Amino acid sequence: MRSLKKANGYALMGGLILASILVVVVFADHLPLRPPLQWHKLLIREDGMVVVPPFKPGNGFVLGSDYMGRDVLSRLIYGARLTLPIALSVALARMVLGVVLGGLAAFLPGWIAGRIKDFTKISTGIPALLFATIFLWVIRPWATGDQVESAFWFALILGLTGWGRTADLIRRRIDTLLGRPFIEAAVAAGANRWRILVKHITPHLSTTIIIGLVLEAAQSLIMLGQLALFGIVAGGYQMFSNSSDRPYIVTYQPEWGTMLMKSVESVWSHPHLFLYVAVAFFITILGFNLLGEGLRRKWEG
Amino acid sequence: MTKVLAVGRRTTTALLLVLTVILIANLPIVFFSEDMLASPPRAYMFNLEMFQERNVELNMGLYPERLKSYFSMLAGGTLGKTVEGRLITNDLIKYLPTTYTIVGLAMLISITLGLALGFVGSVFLRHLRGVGPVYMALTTITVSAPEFVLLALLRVFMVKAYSNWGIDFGHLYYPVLGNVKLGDHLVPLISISVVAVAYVARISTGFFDSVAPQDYIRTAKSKGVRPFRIVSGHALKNVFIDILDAIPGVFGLLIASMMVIEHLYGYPGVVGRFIHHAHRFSLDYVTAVALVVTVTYLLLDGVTSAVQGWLDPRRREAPGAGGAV
Repeated sequence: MRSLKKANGYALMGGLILASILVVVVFADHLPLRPPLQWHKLLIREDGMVVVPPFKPGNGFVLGSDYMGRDVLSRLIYGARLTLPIALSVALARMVLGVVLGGLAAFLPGWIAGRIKDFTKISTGIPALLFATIFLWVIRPWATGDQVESAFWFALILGLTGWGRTADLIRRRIDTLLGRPFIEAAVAAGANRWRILVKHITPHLSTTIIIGLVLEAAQSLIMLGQLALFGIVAGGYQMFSNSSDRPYIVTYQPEWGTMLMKSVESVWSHPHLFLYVAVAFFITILGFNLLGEGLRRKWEG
Repeated sequence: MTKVLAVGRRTTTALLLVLTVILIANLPIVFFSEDMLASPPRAYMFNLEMFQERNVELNMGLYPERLKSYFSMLAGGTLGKTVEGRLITNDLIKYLPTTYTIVGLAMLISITLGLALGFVGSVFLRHLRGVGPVYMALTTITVSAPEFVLLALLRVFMVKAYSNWGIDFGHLYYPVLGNVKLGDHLVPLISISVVAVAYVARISTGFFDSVAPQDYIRTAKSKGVRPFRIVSGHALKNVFIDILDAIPGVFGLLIASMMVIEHLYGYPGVVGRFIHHAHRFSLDYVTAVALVVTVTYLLLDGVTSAVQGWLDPRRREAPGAGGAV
């Protein structure tokens, strides 16, 4: 109990939220859920009424169903199996680029370092969403039907367009470390630039990298949600022509972005469909932010 | 002479950065298929057969040609044409004010309200038992709510308010026409401002906390200056100087949020139109919007650096002062 009191509240809450999500997602096959792809044309309610999808919560559908009569709760849980790894991959890609470029900006002398700093600053300022939108829309990785390939392209493009913040974080941290007495001692002992980087700076960067990775996962999730609203989703979809001019979009694989995109169509008639996915995004983002903030307070004060 | 050299160096850097943005914005051409190139820019997304299948191919040969034609177009004094055949320059003149009005107002709200909340949070709430953690937790929760979550909540609230209590929000319900009067901007403004306010409140709380143990604050305290006077007379100016660093970043955050809001509302702004043109593979429009956003960012960065230098002599005299450009 005492150790629980001493624990960092932010990290504890964030860790609990993320651990709960992880457990539910990993053990989804053992939970009493409807299959995420099973669809229902009609539902006979307990009062004898026959209704068409999307069904409201109840009658075996905890959060209701989508427009094809598929269980929303089940699709949210199974959908996390694609959405969350993509968000983590994006965060990892950004962190790798950030460490390399931030490290170079801090260590390389003169003009090149200055230009890397400028480019980093601009990269932070221009919304990554602008470039990610056009690149992903042109490549359309979801149309290949291969979810792994789709996830790869999302991680690559979002990583390449959003590394500025992490590079800036790493550069600032290295700048701070370079002013510490143990670095002065290493210089006095005759250590060269690269030895200082590998032996003295890198071990101290690990906490910054972990915190950055967690916070960047939250940012990646926000961006995945934003892209989904523009029709850019990792889960994939098909378009069919109907009597009207606009094509009819059908989604198959459960994925949060795909669910968000599809639910926008019925946001007025069935706002709960949009709200459930939006809340799923929000809770997970909150979990990552709380964990990141907690770790920052614990390790960096 | 030194000042002239510094201005020349900054101008060169700015031009290099603008050039980089042009190079990146035109890069998607290497992923273009023959269908996309056939009659660009076309309403590709509605061509179902082409849309269903995709083999990602790389054609680097298209890139130099595209850059050559883009730069010759720039040299001709134009940014190209929209998918509807209008000049992009005219489109920007028409739609940019709507976007920048809301983003500008949101920036103003987020800086003033965020600073005020940071002040209240750091000076008053943080020291009250039990209130400080709640305040910090609330800001973390708000920062975690993307604009589409807030938008969904606002919409559901408006629907419920109408069906349960008979409150009709009128044009606010779905302000698709927009840009008519100030009231039309209210829902988009609230949706994009909330996160930015929480973000500024968080960082300004940290800045107020870091200023508190400084020597000049302790001296003022020991001389018996009232706490409010210490903050308003000594701390606020230094916190404001630090907050200025965040302004270009807040602009980037708000532009991204504005893209979502304009797209969802069908709001007549330039970043909502960006999605419309990106869906039709108009690289001319994409590049033009990226350039406008970059130039605005550079201007904001330059202005905030100048204001910081004016307010803080240490920054003015520091080597390399003056932001990205």
